[in-house]
Amino acid sequence: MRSLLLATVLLGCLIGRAAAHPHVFVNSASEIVYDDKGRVTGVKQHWTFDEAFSSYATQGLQQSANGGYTREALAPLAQTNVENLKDFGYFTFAKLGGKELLFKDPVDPYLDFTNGVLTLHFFLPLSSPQTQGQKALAIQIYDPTYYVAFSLQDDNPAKLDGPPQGCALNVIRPKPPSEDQKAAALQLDEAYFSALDQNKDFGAKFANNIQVNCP
Amino acid sequence: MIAGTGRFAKRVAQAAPAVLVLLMLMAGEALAQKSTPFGISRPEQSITGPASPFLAWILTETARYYQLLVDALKESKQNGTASLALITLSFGYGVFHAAGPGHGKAVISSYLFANDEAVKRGIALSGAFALVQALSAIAMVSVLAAILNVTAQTMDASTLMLERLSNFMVMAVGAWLFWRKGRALWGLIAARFGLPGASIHVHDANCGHLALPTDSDTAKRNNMRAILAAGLRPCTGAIIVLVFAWRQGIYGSGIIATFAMGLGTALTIAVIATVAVMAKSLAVRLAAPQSFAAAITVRTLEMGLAFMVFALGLILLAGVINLPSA
Repeated sequence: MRSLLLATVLLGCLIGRAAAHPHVFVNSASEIVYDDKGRVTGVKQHWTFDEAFSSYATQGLQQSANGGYTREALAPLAQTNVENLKDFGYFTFAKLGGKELLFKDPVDPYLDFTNGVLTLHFFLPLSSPQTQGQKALAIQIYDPTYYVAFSLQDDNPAKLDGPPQGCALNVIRPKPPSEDQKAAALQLDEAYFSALDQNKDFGAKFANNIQVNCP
Repeated sequence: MIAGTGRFAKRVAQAAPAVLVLLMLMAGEALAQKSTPFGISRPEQSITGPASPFLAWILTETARYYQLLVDALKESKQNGTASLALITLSFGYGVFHAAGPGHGKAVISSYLFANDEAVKRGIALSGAFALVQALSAIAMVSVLAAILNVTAQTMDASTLMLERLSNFMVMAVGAWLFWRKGRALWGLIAARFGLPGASIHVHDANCGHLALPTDSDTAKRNNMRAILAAGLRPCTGAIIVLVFAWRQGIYGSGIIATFAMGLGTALTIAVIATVAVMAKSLAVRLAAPQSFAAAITVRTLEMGLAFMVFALGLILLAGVINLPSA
């Protein structure tokens, strides 16, 4: 009986260990918003979904005459989207000088539908505005469970909205594997995954990093 | 003093099964994913080992194939037919998807190990499982999207219902097997020591060889049907791809892609199933030199695997039972 107990606990640990493969692909653009005192107030997210997921998400909704969807028709869906994002920390992880920042509930969420894809817009306010000073602001966008695969938009993946003078923006995308690494992967070589921290979530490997440094 | 300890031990033994089930329910409840990112579509419940490089590789490949297959599907809209590329990519997606986290293969291989099945039966079961999964996705999307035109959230609720049903079936098969294997183990012990209950045993250790009693063919067929019911929960990728295909006016291509996915899934599960069957026959062969201890070991292993099936079903069920549907 004791071994059964042990087996159950082990099994419980294995099940639900966060790991999936993505069924949602998001192309992200972010704006980091500063107030007139030069403090960081939050992040505006503009997330464009892939065509298949957009098609699935809009299934059964009221279509307008041109086959598209109005912002009003998509309003309940946008609400559902952000409400459910709460449990996932909005996939937005911010640190100021290495200290984690917290967010409040999103403001003004809405969806638009263009060229067959949905884009979700919302402003994610920090729990309190932060004076950045010389500390580095780092924002990561990723899903630790890898159910949602995030990538940054090719053009303008991040913008600063009203930053103090001299602030510089730096965007770091997850590195695509090199040819050597791809070859190693085919042999299931450990080298391919050396970048992957074994104790971390899978999604962290695919994290998109935005950094702001101010003088 | 000694008597007191004995009574205490007895009480613990009596309480253990209840504690066990409670623990499993708690595990499932704790692991239940309360919401889905964006509140649309349902991630499959997963069983995962540690974050191994192999698993990371599987996950990235699955993602790659998924995107390529959606692209190929879009192309088939221009060409008007499902291309060979679409079929190949869908097949590849199925292969990788089935190798990733997910409980189907765990259930099937545990079941096969707990029973004496031929490799052929194992492969047939894997194929049938994948076919049930493909058909379930097609039936669901055909009725809900194509005919009733319900929203994604309603479709998610239906997926959740099928998930509950399939988890329940896994649990039920596990419980039934555990009971059968437990009886067989007792039969073995009883026959050896002349205890009551030996009569439920067809052979005994004095047969000259260690013929382990097996369930009747009818019982096996029923078990297999129940295992197939575990495939009723369609895979999320298939549902999204089918809805997308339907709305693009290329439903035929979507259906072909779904069957190709199923074929890939069947291949992976069949390989795992074959390993399970071979491992079992090896275990039985090693135990063959009519040693009582060896027979007991095989029976205990079978019981353990049957219990795994039951625990899997219960934990997975606990993980979805309290979720709000839509």
